[in-house]
Amino acid sequence: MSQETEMPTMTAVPEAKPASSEWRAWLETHGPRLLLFARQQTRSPEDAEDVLQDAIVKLVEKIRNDEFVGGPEAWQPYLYTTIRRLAIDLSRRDDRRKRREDSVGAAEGEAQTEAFHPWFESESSDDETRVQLESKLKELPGKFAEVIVMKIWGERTFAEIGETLGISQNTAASRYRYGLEALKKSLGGARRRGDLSI
Amino acid sequence: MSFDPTSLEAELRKLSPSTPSDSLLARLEGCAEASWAELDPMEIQRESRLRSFAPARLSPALMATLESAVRDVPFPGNVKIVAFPKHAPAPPANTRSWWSAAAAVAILGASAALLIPAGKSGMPPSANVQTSPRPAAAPAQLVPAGFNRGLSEASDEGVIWSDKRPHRVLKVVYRDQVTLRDAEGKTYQVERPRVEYIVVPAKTD
Repeated sequence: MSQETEMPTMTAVPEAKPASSEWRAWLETHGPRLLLFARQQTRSPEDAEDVLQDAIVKLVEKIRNDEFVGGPEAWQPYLYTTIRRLAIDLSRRDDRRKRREDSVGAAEGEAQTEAFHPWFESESSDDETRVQLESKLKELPGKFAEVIVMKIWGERTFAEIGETLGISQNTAASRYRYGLEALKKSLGGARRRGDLSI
Repeated sequence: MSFDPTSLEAELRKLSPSTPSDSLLARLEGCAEASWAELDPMEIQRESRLRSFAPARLSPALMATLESAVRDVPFPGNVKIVAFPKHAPAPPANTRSWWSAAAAVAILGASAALLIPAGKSGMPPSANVQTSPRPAAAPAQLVPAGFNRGLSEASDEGVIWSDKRPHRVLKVVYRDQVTLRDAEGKTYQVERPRVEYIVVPAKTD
């Protein structure tokens, strides 16, 4: 194994920025990956946005009341855990409600809604791949998909994922590998046809 | 009517538990060696390809909603720093805080090491330090406030022949980031790109 290094660069982070612009920058950076996780955890784009908003509000309330231990680097583990818990609560409420409601046509409506709210950024050059990937990721069992989303797009470690899900880091790693293998197999057909570059 | 379990037990004892699969054995071995949670270069490469698909940006409406939720709360700093005591305090009930201080100094040393590029010319360390670019007004007493070992990309560089065997060369690019904070609370980010070439034996038909 060889290694190359370049000169480090050191930059002072500007002080006393207006709070709103710092929040905006933080939301622009971390919002998409948190929303992706919320979408994976919930049944509709609207639910995902509600869950993300509730999680952010809970975080802000803790910060406002000086109850949150740690700085911004500790927010993400908290937010992933909160999003998951809120999504589970919402799912239970929905299950009770749906037993009382007529659900005819609901699946078609959900499919149409999803088409207008893609999980990933759309680039015309690779749009077919994105569509296939998103579709297969949604078909994966949730316990695999959630680890993949947190690991790849949330850039969480297996230890952090284990903490969020209440499992060991080895179990998180196993689910990740199972999930990637399953994703690879399900994408196999598209890859053979030349639709995929993965 | 009585039931004699002896014969049934004898039959059951004849059955042998099936052997665990190779993949399960590899997994158990990895867990035992604490290496199961580490990805191999091929897995890192696959992960990098998937990561190239960026999650969709927040819609303007959702961004506005979230911004309104955080509007009244100032964006907090990164970490709370516990200052070193200026005067020798009375002997503490336990020595944990001093161990913490020692650990902080060790982390600071490790962070400082990141600032010094690895020597390539064989010059003595002092010469290396003089040639490294330092900020004009680098503040004293920088305390590490965060570290991020950012994997930025991984690519397959092809196959080479070495020791009469094919080897695949994988290029992994990291972008390490260290956040430091001075006594006045100002934060600094040190960024160091790093490239690793990993050579792994390649399978041949």
